[in-house]
Amino acid sequence: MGDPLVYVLDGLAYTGLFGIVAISLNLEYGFTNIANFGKAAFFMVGAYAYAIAAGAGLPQPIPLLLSMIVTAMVGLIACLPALRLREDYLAISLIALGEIIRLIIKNEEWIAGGVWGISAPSLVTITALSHRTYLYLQLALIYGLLLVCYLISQLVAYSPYGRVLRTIREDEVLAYTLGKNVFMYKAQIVALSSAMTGLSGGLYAQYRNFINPFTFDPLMTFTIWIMVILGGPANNTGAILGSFMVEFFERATRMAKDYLSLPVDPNNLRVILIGLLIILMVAYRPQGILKESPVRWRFPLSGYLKHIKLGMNLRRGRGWHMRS
Amino acid sequence: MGSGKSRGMSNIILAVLIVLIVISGVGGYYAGYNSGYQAGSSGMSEVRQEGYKEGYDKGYAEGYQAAMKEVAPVLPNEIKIGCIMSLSGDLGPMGQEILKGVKLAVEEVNARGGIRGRPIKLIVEDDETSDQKAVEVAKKLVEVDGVQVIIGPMTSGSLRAIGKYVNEKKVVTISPTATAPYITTLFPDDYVFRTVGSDTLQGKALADIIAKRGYKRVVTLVLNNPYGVGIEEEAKKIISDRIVLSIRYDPSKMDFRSELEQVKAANPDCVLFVGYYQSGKVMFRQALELGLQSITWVCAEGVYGEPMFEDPMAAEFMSIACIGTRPVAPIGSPSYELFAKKFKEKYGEEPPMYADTAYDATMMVIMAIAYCGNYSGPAIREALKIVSQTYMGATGYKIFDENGDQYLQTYEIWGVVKEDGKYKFVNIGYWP
Repeated sequence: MGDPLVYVLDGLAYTGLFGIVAISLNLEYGFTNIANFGKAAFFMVGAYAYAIAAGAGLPQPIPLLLSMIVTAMVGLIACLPALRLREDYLAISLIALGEIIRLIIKNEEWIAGGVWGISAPSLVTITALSHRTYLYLQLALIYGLLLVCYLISQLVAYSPYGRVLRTIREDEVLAYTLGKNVFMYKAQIVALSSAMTGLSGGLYAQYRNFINPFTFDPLMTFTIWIMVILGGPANNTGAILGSFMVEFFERATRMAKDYLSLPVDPNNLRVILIGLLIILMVAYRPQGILKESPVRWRFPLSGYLKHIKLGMNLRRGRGWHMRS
Repeated sequence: MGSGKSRGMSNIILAVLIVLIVISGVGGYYAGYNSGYQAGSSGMSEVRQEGYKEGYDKGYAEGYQAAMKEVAPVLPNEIKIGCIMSLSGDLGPMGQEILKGVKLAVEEVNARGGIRGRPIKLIVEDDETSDQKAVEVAKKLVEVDGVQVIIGPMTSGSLRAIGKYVNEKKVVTISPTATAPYITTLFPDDYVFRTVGSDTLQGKALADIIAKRGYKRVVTLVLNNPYGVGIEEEAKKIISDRIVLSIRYDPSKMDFRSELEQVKAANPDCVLFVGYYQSGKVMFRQALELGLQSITWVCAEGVYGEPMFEDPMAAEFMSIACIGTRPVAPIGSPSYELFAKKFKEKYGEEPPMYADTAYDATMMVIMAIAYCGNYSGPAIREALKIVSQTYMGATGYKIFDENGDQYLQTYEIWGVVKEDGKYKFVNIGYWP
């Protein structure tokens, strides 16, 4: 018989996977105001890089590292011309880039199977596990990496470097007058964020074992945006919360429809509810469920780190924030 | 910062929202868990059903008995049949129609008392024409609802995506529409079945028609997905020497002038076309505008259906230039007429394409469960193979080969004629 817990764990795995992407978009959009509408493409590059490298027989975890590196490079190359554009034009050009990458992979069968898709070996290779145990291992892997990404983006966002990012977000000209190389900052953030997206893409490929170009359509980009907007831009915890809520809504409405009789087509209920939620959010709480925190954030155990003199003076920039 | 009052407002709304979400989710989970648990425990008390041992052929029975040994035969009080259809997304309109075929079969059996007095509960899930969603809903059906048999999914991509999972879980999956040849090689002898012929056959049929009619310069114009490319590759195996140009188009583009200009420039006498309704209508209208109706267009079944005539120019073009193939019941079989009559009585319309294969898939699954008197994947799988040998459905004989594919498939060759200002599809032959 079935095991309902497996369905819950599966949902949590996707929450973690998309949580990483949401955090990376948060770095770009939430803290730096780079409207990256090519998220699905970077995600796809990561997934395909993993699938191709692992398929070629490279030992783990090289394929996963490769998916980070390749995606970061693609991000950098993409942003060279694009980042000089204003916000809205940047968004359009990145959507276009995403579609171009997807269409190339779809049409060029020699790269990765074209429309047939490509299979990707799992990272958890221990055999003879029950499905549930397998999922626990996957979750440990995904959430471990999610934690790493979360800590990195918290460090970036709440450091002097992060304050420059916020200055760029609020007023690019001001950042220029302060002598900051805005382009360099943006390029670095795109590279870092793309590396995270690529990591998540690789994890996604190994979790699903099979990917094809049809999955990575613009709708996926919008889903990731919904996560960030719901959870709260410029709040990393909010990004993860947003990812959780979207996944939860998907599954809860699927379950609910079996036990409720409704005047609407139950399969449309999910879409209606998410739409309603977004309208309510934008109307009544545009800052998201969790708004940008004015509270200073410290790296966990940084007090101890100071004692053992690692030279990480993370606390130097405390007490300064843009929005109050 | 907003005033204190508005902040209080939004906080209240937020709190209410979150509470609602949590209640709906937790409630749904427990309701599902409890009902599943009850169904399971009450089923356990049922004793082994009598009668199923009688009268089946010993020759077929070996695998069946082996499967029966693994699990105690238990028929639950309510027999769940999972169904994954694309009810929204690209194939949404088609999926809504095909679902009617599944529902017809289930309601027919339920009206007569279900399987051995136990009602069938159909649980329908929408995969949004996305293979990622297909995996998610398959897990939902198997893990939460505990189904042992799934009708669907519709696309070959989705079937491929869930194939590995359903095999691990030993859940019988039977697709009425997935035609891509690669399903055969990816999932040989296992839990994946199809009630429609693989496109290995349709590709052959299309190529044969082109060869027999003696066309010398052929352009292939196909959907860039497993359905289109599958047919193109099969046809190429037979008529590669006649193909002068191969084009794969993206259906979401909705403007195909550049592809059609390429076709025109290649100066063919025949176009092998694979498409769906939405893109097909645009393609045919633009082909008429460019004057490509002097070429014969040989089409696969994706453009067979009344919705094509919604666009008068596309209909006109089809009546001048198009012939095509589609899977049908063998010539003169009364079973399709019977199905069509039942369908018309219930829904007041002619059965749309693939409602018949969906009906057959559902009927065969129901018969297999009734046959083995056991609601478990391995037993149903073996019983399904036995049932398939004697079943004559809306689409004819449904014998599975060793890969779970259709052993036989007849294709109708269709054309379009205009009568009294109305267009309609006509039969102009059969293949083979």
